[in-house]
Amino acid sequence: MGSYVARRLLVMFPTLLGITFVTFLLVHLAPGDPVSAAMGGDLRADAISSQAIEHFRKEMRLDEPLLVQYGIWLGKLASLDLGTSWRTGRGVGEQIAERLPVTVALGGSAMVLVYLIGIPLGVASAVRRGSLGDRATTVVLFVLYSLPSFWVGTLAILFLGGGRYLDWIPVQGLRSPGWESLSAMGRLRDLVWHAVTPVVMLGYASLASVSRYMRTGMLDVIRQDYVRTARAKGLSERVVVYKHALRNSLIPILSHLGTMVPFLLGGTVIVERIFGIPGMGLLMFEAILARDYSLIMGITTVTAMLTMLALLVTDLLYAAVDPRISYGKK
Amino acid sequence: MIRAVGMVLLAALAAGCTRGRTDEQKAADRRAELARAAPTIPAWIDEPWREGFFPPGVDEGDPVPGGTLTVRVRSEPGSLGYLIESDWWLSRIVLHDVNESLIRTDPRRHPEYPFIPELAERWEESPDRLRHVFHLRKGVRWHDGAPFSARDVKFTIDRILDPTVRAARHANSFVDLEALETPDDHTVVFRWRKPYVWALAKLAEIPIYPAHAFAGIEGADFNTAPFMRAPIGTGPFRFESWTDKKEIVLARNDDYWGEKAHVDRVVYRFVSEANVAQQLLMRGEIDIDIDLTSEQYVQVAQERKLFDRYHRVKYFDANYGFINWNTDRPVLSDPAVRNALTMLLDREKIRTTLLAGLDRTANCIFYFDSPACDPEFEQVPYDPPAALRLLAERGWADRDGDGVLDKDGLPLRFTVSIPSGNQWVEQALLVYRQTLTRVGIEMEVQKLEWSVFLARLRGRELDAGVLAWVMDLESDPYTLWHSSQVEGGSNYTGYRNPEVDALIEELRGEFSRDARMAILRRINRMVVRDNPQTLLFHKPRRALVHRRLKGIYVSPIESFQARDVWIDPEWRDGGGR
Amino acid sequence: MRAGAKIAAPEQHPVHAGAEPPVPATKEPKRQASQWRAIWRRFAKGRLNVAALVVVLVFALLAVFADFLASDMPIVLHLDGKTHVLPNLRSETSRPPELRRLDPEGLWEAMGPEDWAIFTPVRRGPYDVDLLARLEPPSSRHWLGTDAIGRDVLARIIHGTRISLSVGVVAVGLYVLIGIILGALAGYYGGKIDLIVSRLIEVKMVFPTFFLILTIMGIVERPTIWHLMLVIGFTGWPGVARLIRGEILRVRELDYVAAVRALGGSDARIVLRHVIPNSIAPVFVAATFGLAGAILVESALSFLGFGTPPPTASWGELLTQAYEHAVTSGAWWLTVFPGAALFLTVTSYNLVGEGLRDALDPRL
Repeated sequence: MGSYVARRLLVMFPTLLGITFVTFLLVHLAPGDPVSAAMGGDLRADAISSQAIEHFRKEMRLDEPLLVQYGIWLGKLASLDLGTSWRTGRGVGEQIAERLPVTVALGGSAMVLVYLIGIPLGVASAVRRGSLGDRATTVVLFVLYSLPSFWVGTLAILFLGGGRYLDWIPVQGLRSPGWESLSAMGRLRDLVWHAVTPVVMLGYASLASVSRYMRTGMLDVIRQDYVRTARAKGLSERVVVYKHALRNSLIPILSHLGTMVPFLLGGTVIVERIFGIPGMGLLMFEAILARDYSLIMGITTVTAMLTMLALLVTDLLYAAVDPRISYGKK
Repeated sequence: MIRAVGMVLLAALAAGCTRGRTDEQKAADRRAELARAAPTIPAWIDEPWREGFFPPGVDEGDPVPGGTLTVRVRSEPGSLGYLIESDWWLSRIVLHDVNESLIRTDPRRHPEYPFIPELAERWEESPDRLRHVFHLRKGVRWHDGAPFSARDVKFTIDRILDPTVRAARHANSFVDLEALETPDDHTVVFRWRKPYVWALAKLAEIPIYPAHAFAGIEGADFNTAPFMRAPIGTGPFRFESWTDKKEIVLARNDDYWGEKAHVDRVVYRFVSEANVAQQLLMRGEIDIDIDLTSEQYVQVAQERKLFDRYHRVKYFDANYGFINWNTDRPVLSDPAVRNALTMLLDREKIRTTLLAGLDRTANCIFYFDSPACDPEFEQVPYDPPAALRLLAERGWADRDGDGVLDKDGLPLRFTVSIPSGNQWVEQALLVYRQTLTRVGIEMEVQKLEWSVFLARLRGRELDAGVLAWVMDLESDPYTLWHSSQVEGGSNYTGYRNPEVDALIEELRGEFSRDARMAILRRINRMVVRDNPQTLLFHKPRRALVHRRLKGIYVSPIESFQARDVWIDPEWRDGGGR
Repeated sequence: MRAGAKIAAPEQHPVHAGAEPPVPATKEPKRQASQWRAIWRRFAKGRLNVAALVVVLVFALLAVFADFLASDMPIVLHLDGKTHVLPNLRSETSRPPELRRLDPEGLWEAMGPEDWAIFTPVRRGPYDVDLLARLEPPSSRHWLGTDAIGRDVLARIIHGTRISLSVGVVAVGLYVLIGIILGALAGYYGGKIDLIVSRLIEVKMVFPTFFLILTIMGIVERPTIWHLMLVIGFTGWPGVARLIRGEILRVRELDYVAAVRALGGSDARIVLRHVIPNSIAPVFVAATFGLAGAILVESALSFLGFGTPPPTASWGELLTQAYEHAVTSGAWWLTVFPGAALFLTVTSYNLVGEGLRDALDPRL
């Protein structure tokens, strides 16, 4: 087992290298560079002299061969220096450390919610397969999956965000103005109230896939021989379902969990943009637009590492849950 | 089965067969259309709300200190360093409120906007205009308590002139600076090689930075110094905090040397989405929003809830939008062709429909409300038949039968690029495109990311682009229109006219404002006739301003002044107005 | 990005102990026509499945016949003594000059009592700008209303079907192809190739896909629909590759494969004629889910500003426009109808995929 983990950790490095190199190439091949991005916003009728541009390019070493630039970046990474954002001078690590908890918290809550609802739903669907309830649930879940998040977000803001109709949800950010003056309990409540809508928006689409997974897994397992044996032994249906089948069908859910991580760390752009939430998705999106090379590379590295770690953890959990699987020598 | 489907299709076709109408039928249909009623205006709408200005009484009363002013900011600036970053909101937040200059233009005195003292109490200009002496105010302290002195002025100018500092756009103003002397702690002398017409105007825009805040920071590190995210100034407001993606908060400076501000704090809240801003306005969480879209501005006109709480105001600053033609492209090199293209654009229709009649048609490349713009002068008008005649005269006809006009084998085909973000530009171009296609001109619309758009614009790789200039009240046309600025400058059209060049050069030495204005009028006439840009519109600021704010006014140069605003303690939601 | 669906592999029948079969007793993997018919019958038993399939077909028909359903030019036109046939199929610049200058209003005005035409049910094309009719609610003139520059929403939805479906089909087709090739190579040859492909899959899975798409769309000189299709196509192959690889690994060990080899069959033949047709079914299911996903990705990219170029009418573009105008102008028809089209299509594809999966699994 230990050697398996060690091997997996070792393999992470070449994968990381591959990912960062490809990202580096892509981002540097894109037209437009920080210089032109620096002129963004309202164009003033003045010129940035070519001398200043030249100096800027030298400062960022933009004229050296790509491999050299990549090498420099790798070198800094080795000393755990992710560099600084050229525009604001803030450390890349600092910015990521600021935004990552927000995204992880929101994404994590979304995932928890999705599993809390999706698993029982999937189980119920499997047990009552073919019934009206099962079919109705299927349709509803698929409808949910098919609604683009920005569409739902618009409707939510329009109808529930105050204004002409109902005023149930806040529409921006994670805190109300004057948050500092609230008590600890008040702050928590305010945070939760602000987080509800984004969390729901992040999660509702995945409800379908999680519950379908559960359903399929359960259906698979229910027909296995050992379940028949348990039934034959006279154990109640409930015990059969919840004790044996459930535990085993959780396994594919685990691996599914691992694949959700990249989505959570990046696919949240739209929700963050609509609700003004300072998360990783928006950070990356804006970094791409501003051609902030250091920031882009930093986020890619951190995201990739976290994803791979998550995959490793889920695989280990997989092994822990399913006695048939072991990662020792084959 | 196939037969059934076939029968159904035939039946459908037959049912769809329509005959044309007789003249009587056409007339009757037209009458029925006109009979559709115009929307009625609710009785509660008063004139200021309808026309978009402040009612009298906004200035009345004695200021009462206290309260928090919340302003919506559409896009978060990258830093608060006005010297190194060019961003409209950045200047609104920081310039003259946090960081002050030697002098400033008085925003209240339209249209002269004379200079008034700020950090300099008085100043003199030598008769040969080669020397400016500024006498600095005494007893002024920086927000951190350190004393302000001439040393800070010298430091600021030195940093601007340092090529490693990203202040090139300010450095341009000092190319002719011979020396900057500080004979004592409260006197600064600017010595010029040549008289510079806009010396004072530029100085009014340059914030002075404290030398002591940059101790130990050398060269290019200036650009990323922590100061840029937490500036220290001398103004009526102190920087308090910046919460990323959320807001910037300024607090009143109670040790200000001049007349103190009234509100306790100013919160600049970042809200990039119009939808969200709308909801916040409906809840009354924002005091000032000057970034309403045209549609929002029109839509809220019928919103009682907003009428009760806000003023609806519209005002213009110095800007104009245009289509930038790359005159070096063979298809676009003939001014007659550009004239024809301009004549095919129905600006008035776009203005009244897409822009709700709020914008003004632009006919001048300078600030439209200044003497530099002759109100009688207009760009070539919308006239499709004349445009087609012009093109035919210049030898354009569809010789190869592909539906597109051509000449010498070159089809009249080009791409207009736009940065993503402004929907109305895309929509206006699609309208334009339809007209052009119908007469045999093929125009492709290409949406690009901002940085890509700018890179290609500067690299002169675009056929045409749509953008807008935000200008000073009196601009120096050199960087935009002088032929030397095509390579490396902002002359993105590739315009080269020796006559205009001569006028621009003459301008720089002309010290009579009236004479300068006359020269600018001549430049405008020549440039607009040559049509390197098709001028579009001047965009107004469309604002909702809370009725509880007093002392509020808006001007073309700085929009509103946070320092003058005070909050009426008597104001109640749904009550007093 | 939605996580892809995992498909359970069909089980094989156990070999009875003691029997001495002259031919391998393992199930002949190549499906007979009758087996497909059995699958269809199982599929058709569910009313929901059939309903969803009908919806899918209806939208496909809309996509194919868009020009006959919504166009500014009639199908047949007799004007001023001349008869024009199928002017609705010609692009604006290739129309005869007397028709080119006419917009739908102009055409209707120009027709006198001697003229006649067979109009398309919706008498507007997706590109017909009409500033005087902008943001109009649904009416007899414009059945689903107009957008911000007066274009008919119904016409744009119908033509948008074509765009959205082609993006989906091409993108998914591409990644299914890539996935099959890579998966087959990895599964069949194993060893180093398998190692490389597996690493590639891992890298691809860990990569923040959305940003890959964003960056690529940003790099390209002139982003067109084709780039969009290619880019989405490049991002979906790992799932398919893993499926195929798994299938091949399983099938490789079967006796009958050894038999075919003994009879002189080449590797390629085995893979092409035996392995792939078997694994097609779960891939097909994955493809239907993928199609739905691709359509959603296109709309998300449009929202972020990286979608189809103007003036293309894609559903993503319609919904993005709706986002800009819905709250501020109260133009609910811009959101509701395109949104309905989108979710009907995507839901139907998912239901079909789901039904197919259930139908494929003989145990259920």
